[in-house]
Amino acid sequence: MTMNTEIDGAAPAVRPRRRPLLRPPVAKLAFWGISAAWFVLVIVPLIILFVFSFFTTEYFQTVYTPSLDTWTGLFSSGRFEVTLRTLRVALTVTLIELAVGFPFALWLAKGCRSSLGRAIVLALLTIPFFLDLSSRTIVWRAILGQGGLINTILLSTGLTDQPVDWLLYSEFSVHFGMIPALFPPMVLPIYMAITLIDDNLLEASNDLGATPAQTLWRVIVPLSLPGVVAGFVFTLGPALAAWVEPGMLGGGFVNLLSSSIESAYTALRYPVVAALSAFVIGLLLVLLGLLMLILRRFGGAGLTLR
Amino acid sequence: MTDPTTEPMLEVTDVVHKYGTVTALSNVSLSAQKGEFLTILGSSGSGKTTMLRVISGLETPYSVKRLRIGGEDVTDVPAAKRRCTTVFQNYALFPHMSVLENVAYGLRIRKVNATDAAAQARRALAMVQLEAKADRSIRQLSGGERQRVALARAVVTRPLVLLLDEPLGALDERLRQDMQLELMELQRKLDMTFVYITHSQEEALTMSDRVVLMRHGKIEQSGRPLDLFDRPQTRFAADFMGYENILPGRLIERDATLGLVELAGGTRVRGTLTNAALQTGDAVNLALRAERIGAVAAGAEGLDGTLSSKVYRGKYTDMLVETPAGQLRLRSWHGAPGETETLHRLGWKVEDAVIFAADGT
Repeated sequence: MTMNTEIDGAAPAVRPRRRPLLRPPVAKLAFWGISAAWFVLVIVPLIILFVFSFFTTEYFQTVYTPSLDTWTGLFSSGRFEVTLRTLRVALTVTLIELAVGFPFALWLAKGCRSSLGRAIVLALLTIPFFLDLSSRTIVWRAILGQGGLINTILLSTGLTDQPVDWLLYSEFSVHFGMIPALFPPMVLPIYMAITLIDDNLLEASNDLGATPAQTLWRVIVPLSLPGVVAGFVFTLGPALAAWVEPGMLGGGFVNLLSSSIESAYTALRYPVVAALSAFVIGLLLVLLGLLMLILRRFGGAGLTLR
Repeated sequence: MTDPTTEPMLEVTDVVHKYGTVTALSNVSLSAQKGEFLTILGSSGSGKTTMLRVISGLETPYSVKRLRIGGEDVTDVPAAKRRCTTVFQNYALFPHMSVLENVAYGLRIRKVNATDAAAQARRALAMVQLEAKADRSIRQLSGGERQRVALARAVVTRPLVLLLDEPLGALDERLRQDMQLELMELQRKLDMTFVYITHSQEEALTMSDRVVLMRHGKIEQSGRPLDLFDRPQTRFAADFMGYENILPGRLIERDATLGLVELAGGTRVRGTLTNAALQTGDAVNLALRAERIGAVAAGAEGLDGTLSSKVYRGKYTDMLVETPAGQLRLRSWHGAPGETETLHRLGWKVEDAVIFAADGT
């Protein structure tokens, strides 16, 4: 991720090393300060969460005796199926976002020549962050429902003789609801990464005989990988934990891990909540690990001699 | 097939290019032979970079009558398919590839298999003395080394014409002089047509077979380096080629090559005409280099003057002398006799004073 910032820096052998911005004691203090804050605010709650998952509940009371009951119960109670479904939905949504988001980010960064146009698109991309997710999601009910906009149009034009029922309260509608919500987190990091690619590199590639497709594959894609990874994380995480869309557009038919967490929470079964959350985090880590492995294996696709 | 010895390797006729309402190139034509080192010289905004981009195909000109590379019409050929490559000003090396991979890029694009591509790339790197750093990352290279990688990458595909866009601009003085010599040697070895862009007259004079001086999107003057250096045809060219003294006057008399000019203050001096079309009575400028002026005996041809300031600059001494025709700048090498002499009258060789039309600026 540092490759673009380092293009300008000459080799240490020729130019004396740039003086660091902060002097050593200040830098050291800042490092340890931030590390400590991060540990207290992020890591400690996670550890507590993880520890909680080894307790059990009896009569709505948490029993503080370590046991594996919660974890074994997790896998014996059919939640394995829920996990697989959650994974499938989250990955499908993330891959669709990537397929749509990458070309869009490429266009926005390199194809859109008017800076006004670019500013407008970027503003539009951030608007969803200012609106509540549930109010944005619930609108789809009026559009996708049996008596909704689409079915009304289909019926009145005679394209179908009865309402299409898979549009709402189905896996389709859950995917459909998540895609617009998770589009900005995928597009923005990729857009940033592509913006940082010097136009000169693209011209050099063209000048050396590369077709646009070759330039895309050998220069743009490898140089935008940091953005793609970031977009993947920012999209997959929320997709795994999504509960608004499955709740509002799944209509109780699409059970994901988030709804399991919610029902456990309402039943005051905190160890189950902890175990499920830890499990989601674990899943995310495993998926990211896999992604890193894949990138290391195929990330060299842009290189010419492999 | 046309005869390759007479057919120019690069031929551009009447390029016009506009950015919006700004005309960047107006009817520029130039050509270069095989193995010629052609330099396009000009200050920023002169259109020299635009010219290069038009040749490389990175810029589509507004109109062009003829654009041929190696005898082939490339007007509608995209940049990727033209047999010319560019060495970019900031090198434009791919940061995610090693040195070797950068150099092999053009070959891999042309579907040369990996082994052959690596071998050819290594040969190209050896040519620029960088074979030992083939597996380094671009980030580990110094400016001069990056420059060489960019060169190797551009020549490895054996283009007919190599375009260089101020390639030495970012290097320090010492390195720049070394690279100039290296570039000339490389060009001779490859027998390739080089089109070199620079704003430095020193670079242009050192390296080129021919220099094209550009200004405001037009060619101001072109010719062999010495022609430009010693026979500027306009005030701009004289300024650009470093003539410190440009005196206005009127042409009184002329023969085939020499002219007599009456300067302000009434002094008449002789000089060399750079343009055969000058008529007696024309307003002209007489240009003199500071280091070509010296003290002469009273009564000899020249100008009377009194020294008004003297600045010692290490290797040489700069002097300002007031004369009836205006202020003159003189420069003499430190230790040369001119430095300590008292100045009463200044003179110069008639071939060192050049006369050109005063019109324009």
